[in-house]
Amino acid sequence: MLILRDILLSALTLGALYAASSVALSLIWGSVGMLNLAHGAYLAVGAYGSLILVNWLGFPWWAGVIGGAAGGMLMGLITHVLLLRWVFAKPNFEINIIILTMALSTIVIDMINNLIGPTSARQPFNLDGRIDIGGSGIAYQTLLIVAGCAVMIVVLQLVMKKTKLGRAIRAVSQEPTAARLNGIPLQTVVLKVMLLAGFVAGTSGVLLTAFTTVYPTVGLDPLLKALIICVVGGLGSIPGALIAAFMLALVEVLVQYGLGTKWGFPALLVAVVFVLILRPNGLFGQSAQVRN
Amino acid sequence: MNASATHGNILSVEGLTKRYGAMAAVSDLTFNVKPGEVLGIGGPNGAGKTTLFDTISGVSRASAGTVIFDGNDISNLSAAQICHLGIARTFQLNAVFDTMTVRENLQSSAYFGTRNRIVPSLRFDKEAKEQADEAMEVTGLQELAGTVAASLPILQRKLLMTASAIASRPKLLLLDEPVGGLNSKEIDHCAGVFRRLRDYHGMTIVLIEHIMSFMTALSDNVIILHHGRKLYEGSAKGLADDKEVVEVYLGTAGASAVRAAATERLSHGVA
Amino acid sequence: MSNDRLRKDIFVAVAVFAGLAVLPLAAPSSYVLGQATLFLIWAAVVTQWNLVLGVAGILSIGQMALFAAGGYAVALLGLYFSISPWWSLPIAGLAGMAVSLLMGSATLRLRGAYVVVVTLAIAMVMYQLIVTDVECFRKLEIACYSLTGGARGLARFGDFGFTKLFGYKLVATADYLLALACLALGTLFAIVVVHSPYGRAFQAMRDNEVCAAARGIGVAKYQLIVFAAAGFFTGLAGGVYAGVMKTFGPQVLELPTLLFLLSMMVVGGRGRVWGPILGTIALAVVDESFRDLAQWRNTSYALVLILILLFMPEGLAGRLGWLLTDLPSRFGGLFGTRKSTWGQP
Repeated sequence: MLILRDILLSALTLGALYAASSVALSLIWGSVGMLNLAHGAYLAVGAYGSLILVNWLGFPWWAGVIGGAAGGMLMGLITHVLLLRWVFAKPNFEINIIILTMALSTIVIDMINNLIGPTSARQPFNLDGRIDIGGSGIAYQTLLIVAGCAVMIVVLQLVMKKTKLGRAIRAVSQEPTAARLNGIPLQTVVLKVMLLAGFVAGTSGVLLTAFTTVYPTVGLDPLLKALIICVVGGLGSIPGALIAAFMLALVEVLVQYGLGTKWGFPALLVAVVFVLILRPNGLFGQSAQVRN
Repeated sequence: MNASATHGNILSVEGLTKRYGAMAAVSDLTFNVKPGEVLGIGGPNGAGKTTLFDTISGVSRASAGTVIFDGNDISNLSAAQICHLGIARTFQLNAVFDTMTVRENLQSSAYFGTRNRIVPSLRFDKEAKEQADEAMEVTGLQELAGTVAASLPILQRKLLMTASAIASRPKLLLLDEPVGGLNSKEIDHCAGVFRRLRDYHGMTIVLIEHIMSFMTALSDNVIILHHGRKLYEGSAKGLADDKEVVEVYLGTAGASAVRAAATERLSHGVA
Repeated sequence: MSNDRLRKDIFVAVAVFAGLAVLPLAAPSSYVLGQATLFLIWAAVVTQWNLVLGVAGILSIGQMALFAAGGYAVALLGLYFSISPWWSLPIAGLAGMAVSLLMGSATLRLRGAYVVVVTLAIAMVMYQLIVTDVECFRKLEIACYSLTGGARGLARFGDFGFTKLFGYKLVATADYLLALACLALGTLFAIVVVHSPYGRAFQAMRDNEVCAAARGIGVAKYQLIVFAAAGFFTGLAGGVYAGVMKTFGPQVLELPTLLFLLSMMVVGGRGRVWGPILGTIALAVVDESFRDLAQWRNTSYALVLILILLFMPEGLAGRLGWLLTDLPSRFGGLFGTRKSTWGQP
């Protein structure tokens, strides 16, 4: 029983981390139709934004989240202005934007490496300790991440469901041409999506690194996990991504417990391939109705 | 398989149903096509016409029902297998291989469409080249043989799609809105091509079209679909006299146009 | 028509490779020769990748996993069974083919971005399994080595024995010629395939998959064929790399390598026969220009990649083809006169 509880707690923690990693990726895919391979760089810039604001500029620790969000939004802005707007809704958009964001990611990581340095640093938070539940427990860190993630998702859902911007985003994602004909300025909406997603990703970057360390390639592992989670959940479905995050976390923890740590990631891949064989569009993804 | 039901028919569709979630795009549809017949399928948008073609041609699988073609149950075959048996279809959008030239399009369609190439050779065979040339001739695309498909004007793209379909020498041709988006002069040109296919090549054709005058002028029989069900089945001539069809689909102005087209068709037959 | 272009492409290929083969006569330094050897191997990888991504339009980005499979096949067989790379080269090809077929089958029903994610994940899983492989497999004196060599990679597994055959001085030349032969074999294969019905089937899949199926092309079958072929030649290139470099590690699976090769393909021109070779030349020039700025190397590739993709998405092969049609009087006889299809399958 104790083991089971430990496994569930670890899965919960890991699931929260995965969920935090995946939301922004899923948002961008769902509304712009772009697989953002610079997502890892978004997370990293968010993490460094927090570091710079608090450690270098001397702001109080809670301002770190603001720095993270600002860093993420900056990435969103750069992606849109330099890359996305030139290829959006053009031929081969799907592959071109994947290649472009991969290149952007490389440049950002190189810049962090060369301008800030490759050494790792710690986020300026101090939230040690844990809630005890008979021997083992939940670290405050986990609670913070779960809570932060929950707040982020609720806010995001509110934005998508209740605001004018949310309606415009949904219109654009469903019928870009019709949306444009109805007077929705496509590029502006896409820019807003990128800023919103940057905000979410930057904040996630701070949450993810809150109690670990920050280094230039800190976003790459979460990127990979987020890609897998979004694919299993169905690209573009945020609820799907959340469910997939916790499911895959459970799979990973179980496999790591049973077979050893190194088999966690390969097991994820096998799980992904199986899910995709059964449902090529992920668990909650809609199969695009291609008209011929 | 019920032999009497398929007797004399090249295509028998029985109880065909295609559901997307709770919605049935095609429900319990039954009809037959005789060799050499031209069957027109009309109906409002969303009536299930293209879905019907998709399920017959194996692009998507039917939820229920059977499709018998030329004595074979093709309900569960793949699109490629159905093509090899002798059904070729066109698409509503101009689906051709954009980066290939007209000739390459037709040679590929002829080579891969005629039969299953288990181990393709390194060259297109003579047969495929001949079939491609023939398809080019029927559709009048010879001049454009070396042009890349993406740069063709719309009429020629439509014709290329038809040419690709007939390049594999099918027994049954399914045309999905073959003249949609064309002007009346271009429509006349296409009608000529299809008439040639029907009269000289004896091709059996099922066609979907919104342009009723074109459809009635070409078709022996007509089916009007509405909400995935048959609203009308019968001769093209009777169409304009059917109250329900006029009410749901044609309108009174449309009805008189159809009547005129049907009469024209008869005079064509005489001439 | 197609035959003319096949003959023309083969003619150009033979001329290009013959030219490259006599290059060592110009007595370049061993550094230049070594770099050239490396770039020839990369060109061989990109040529096959181009078949999958450019010609067949399957968005696989896990290509380095096939290369690694070939390289590790040579390294492991050499290390544990003392098999000479000459003998293990075909096995390297088969290893690449096996991994490629695995990748191809896993992505059979998937489209677009889903293919990207799964192929990338396969390569990354391979990377992580190798890097985290620290279990003691063999002991040399006091040091302990894992089966795959872990993050350090493998070394001292034997080479092609050129030192013995030709003497120390000609090793670099022999390595260069071997890499060239590997590239020539792969390129000639690609040219023949691209101009054959197989190439048309791949192209049809790329242009319109639903339509391809409706025209009788069994899409799954041709996806597996293109994966198998590309896998074999990529694995072969990996084997040559291992034998030439005398070391093989998981670094080839890291993202910068992927980006570098992707740049070659995009800069050269996706889906065009001569794209990979033109792209390799271009990237070699970029690489040389940024030699003094080693820490910005990846950025330089990334920038070139972005600029080309935004301003010249058809790549060098596409652009040169367009130039050549504008100079038909000078080049028309040699390169054909069909507008903007030069080098395109």
